[in-house]
Amino acid sequence: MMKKQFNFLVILVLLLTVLLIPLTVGSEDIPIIASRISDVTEISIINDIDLNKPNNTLFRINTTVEILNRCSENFTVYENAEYYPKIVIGVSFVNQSLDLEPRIISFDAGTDYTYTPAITTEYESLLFYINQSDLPYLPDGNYTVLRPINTLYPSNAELLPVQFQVSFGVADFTYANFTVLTIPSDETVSSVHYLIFGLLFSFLIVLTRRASKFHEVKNEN
Amino acid sequence: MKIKKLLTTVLIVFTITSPILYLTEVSSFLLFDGSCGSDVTNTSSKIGNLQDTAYTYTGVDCVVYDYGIVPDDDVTIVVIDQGLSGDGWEYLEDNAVATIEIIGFLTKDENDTLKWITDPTDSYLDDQIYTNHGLMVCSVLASIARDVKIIFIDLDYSNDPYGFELDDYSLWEWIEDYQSTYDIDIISTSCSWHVDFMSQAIEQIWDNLISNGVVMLSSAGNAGNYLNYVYWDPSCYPQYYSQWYCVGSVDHETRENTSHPDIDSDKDSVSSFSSWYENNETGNHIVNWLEPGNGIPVLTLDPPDDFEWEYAWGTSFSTPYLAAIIALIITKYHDGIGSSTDPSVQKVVEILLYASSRGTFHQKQGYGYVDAYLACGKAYTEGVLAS
Repeated sequence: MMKKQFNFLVILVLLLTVLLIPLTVGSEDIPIIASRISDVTEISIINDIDLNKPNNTLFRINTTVEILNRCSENFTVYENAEYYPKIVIGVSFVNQSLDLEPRIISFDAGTDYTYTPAITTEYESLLFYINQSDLPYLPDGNYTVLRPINTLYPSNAELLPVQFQVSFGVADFTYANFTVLTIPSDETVSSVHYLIFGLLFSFLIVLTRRASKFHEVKNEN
Repeated sequence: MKIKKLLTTVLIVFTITSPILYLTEVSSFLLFDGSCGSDVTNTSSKIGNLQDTAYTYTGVDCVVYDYGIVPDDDVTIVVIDQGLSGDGWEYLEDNAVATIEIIGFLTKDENDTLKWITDPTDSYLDDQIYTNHGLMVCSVLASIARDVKIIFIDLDYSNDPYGFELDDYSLWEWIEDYQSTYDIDIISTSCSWHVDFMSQAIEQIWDNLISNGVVMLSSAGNAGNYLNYVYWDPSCYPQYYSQWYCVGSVDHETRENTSHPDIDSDKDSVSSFSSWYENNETGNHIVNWLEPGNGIPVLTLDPPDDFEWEYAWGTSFSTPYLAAIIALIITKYHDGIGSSTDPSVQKVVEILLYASSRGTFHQKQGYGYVDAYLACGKAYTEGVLAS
């Protein structure tokens, strides 16, 4: 009977180990680095003789960007190029004959950027063409602006865009917020991990010794 | 007793494997020789004598170090990039390892006036904010095409106070106007643009430049996908234009466990980040060639004011690599023909194809990488035949 109970306990401990380990490392699923567009400060039409293209209207969107490093230490991200600007825009026009062409340039060298803990604020301005001349305002459609980050490694950055719907020149903005601001550091996660391992194995050793003693007493009897 | 033995075994295995796992984890942060981000050791041998595998892979060590071939005075490369500091300019012209001669820096000032600077101590250069990429690109030219003449054209980038837009007609007009004066043979740019900027006027200039023997090279881009997509848009200009030859990156050695696991290298493969293009309708073969761009020595500025060689990655560096080889090819052609008569663009392409690692076109690899030794030999022969 005692042996059965002991075997049951061993299986229970092993099961707990298997079940608890994923819980301790589960926090790693939350990306350490995240970006969000926190404000669109201006959308305007640009008239610049050097930049204007025939049969197009040139727009500029000014944004405030937040980069969140959820770790308590500096965090380095790896980008596959140096981009200017660092935001991108996507759109679904009501008039499907329209097309949007952003003025984005990249210098094709792998580049590292290091972010301090908490939020870093940047200001990004993007110029883009829409293929119709003399537009008085942004054409109707659903627009998305986001700030790509960590384009190379690790690729699990959280990108929170601003989305806005334009109807007859009036834009309705929807901003996303960071839901988790901090996560435990790798060291903390590892410590919890090792602590659980330690406790479980200590428990197993105690059980083993008890079982041995029980068998010894039983054999003596 | 069986359970006790089993548990003891588990404990022993755990005790042994834990430190091994820990060491494996730690080693992933170590930088191996050649890894991107690590410093180049023994620069006089690896760069000065071109003994780094980034050079021996294509045989430029043989051409430059063993045979001492350097570009002649009738070869000039135009580099179009984000900027170059005065200090970087001076260092590129005067260091113990590899140098170039920068004959001028062209930019466009706040009043849209062209500004030609020939003195690296000109204080106007101090206002630039972004200059490191230009320095890195020029240093690749310096390492292979020793003392080659460079004209640096400054692009307007981010919040830099001045510079050209890539679609600025006056930029291309200046190159055409001064092509003959400065013996411009090659244009090299390591950037990708979302905007299809070619106007008929710019296209006409490009065609004229090609007629005058100017080879135009651009980087393939680092998005590692078809058309170099960055989210919703392809970033494929000027690569996509048939007037430009596009250069991707090949892995010249196998490296693992670097600080950038996604760009581990696998010798002889196209680098994982190297983008590609294809336009079957026009028969435009892009990417055209690959050159080493994953772990290549470049000069960088580490503040405060400390220049150092380190390994970098990107098709930004494959492009000047090929530009430097073409400078050597043109020089050998000059030797063969016995004058400063330049080979046509078609002739240069013919020579490059002769010395390419692939005999057939591949969507991602183009014609592969160019064997510099074979190319220079072929260029000399072609020059002799044309004399």
